[in-house]
Amino acid sequence: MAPLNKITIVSRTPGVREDMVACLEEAQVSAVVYEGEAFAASADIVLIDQRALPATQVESLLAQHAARCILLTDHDDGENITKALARFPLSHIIGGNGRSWLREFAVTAQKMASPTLWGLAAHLSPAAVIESRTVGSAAAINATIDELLGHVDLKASFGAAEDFLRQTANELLTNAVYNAPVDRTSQQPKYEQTDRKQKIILLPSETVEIAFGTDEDNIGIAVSDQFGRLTREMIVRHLLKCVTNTNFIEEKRGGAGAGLYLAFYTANQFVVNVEVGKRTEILCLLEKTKRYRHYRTRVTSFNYFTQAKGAA
Amino acid sequence: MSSKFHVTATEKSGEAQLEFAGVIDEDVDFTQIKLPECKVYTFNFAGVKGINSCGIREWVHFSESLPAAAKLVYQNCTQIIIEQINMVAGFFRAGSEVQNFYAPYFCESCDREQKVLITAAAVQGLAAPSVNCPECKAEMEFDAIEEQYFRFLKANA
Repeated sequence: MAPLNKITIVSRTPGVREDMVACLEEAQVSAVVYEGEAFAASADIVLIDQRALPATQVESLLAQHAARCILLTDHDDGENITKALARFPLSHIIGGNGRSWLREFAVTAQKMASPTLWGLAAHLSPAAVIESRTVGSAAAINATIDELLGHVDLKASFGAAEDFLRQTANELLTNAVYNAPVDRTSQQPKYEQTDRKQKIILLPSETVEIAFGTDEDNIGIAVSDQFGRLTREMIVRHLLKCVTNTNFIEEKRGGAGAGLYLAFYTANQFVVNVEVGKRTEILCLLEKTKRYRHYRTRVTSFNYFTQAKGAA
Repeated sequence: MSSKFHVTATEKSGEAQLEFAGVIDEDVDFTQIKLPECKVYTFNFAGVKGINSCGIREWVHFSESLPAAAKLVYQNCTQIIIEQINMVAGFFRAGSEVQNFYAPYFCESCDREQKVLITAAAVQGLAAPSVNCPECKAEMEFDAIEEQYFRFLKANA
């Protein structure tokens, strides 16, 4: 029998509890759902609906329970980074103006309880079409992206979506190829400081997987490496640097130090799955919409899931 | 020059015209563009299909390498270029000018997006200019957030 998650919802939005219960049932997530702050101390998951709560109450809840919280918010991405992610050990933010935030909530709750769910399939509907490829060299990055983009139906998306998907896939793949690999013995980065004009060839134990997937609501990209070194703190530090300083392009050897932020900025859902020391998977999902305004005003969801090596 | 990126460069009476096509990434080598020192450099971005973070860095280096007294003019900026101008300090060198750029409009009755080339001068007080649908002739809705999309105009020369 699946474990029963204790979830408490702290919200002043009418009907949220009923909607969530219905969504959890539909997603077949086993849960007992409470309502109110009084249950927060004993709950596995605390859903804070920031959209209608006083800031002081949200801060108090995050200060006590951040590691177990999902923050449902309509605040902008900059505020979510500076005032939530950077101040509290929070790993889950859901954009409260997303078209399918209830489904996002169900998936997040499911993965918090069982962080062994990998890939785009967990975030897309069962009818999703997913194509994946293995990338073994830096020279193959752009051709692989172009080939996979050819399988993506963009008819229901705004015109520039293709450019944004290409940029996101390029940043994620470039990071996975150059930044992820370490020497297994010394744990020192192998290619991090390599000039990006130098097209490295990866060992079989270093290759990268990329997948594009679509369902009726979203287009997703997933890129995974075989190292599992990306921590929540590294990501938050990077996002904070870029959101608080527009002069974030770095003059160091190797990359420009902006790829992860560009991917986050472009995504509507930014999800990181890590099996420590074994693999990192980054997923970026864009809502299907013909309206660029809807896409741009969508609060970006942030999720970081981690599992101990071999815990699957 | 990268095989993914092409530049057509011409010069006349101290004014350089550069037309870009393809992807601006780490492989782009702007130093290969040989031009005499000019008073004005006009960049046409219409053919730019994409850009990545290393390409942004290459672009910033290139624009900074041009004579400080020269005027830089950006033409036909696509949405992804406007996003970088708004987001990344240095992508748009101080004193430069975006002459015209593409902006998303949406026709409700045709359920269709249209990328419309508008001039910076047509944006008054951060209000998007009125544009009619080429199909049904109804007025289209500007399909971005004015304060976000036109942010660069505050620095426009």
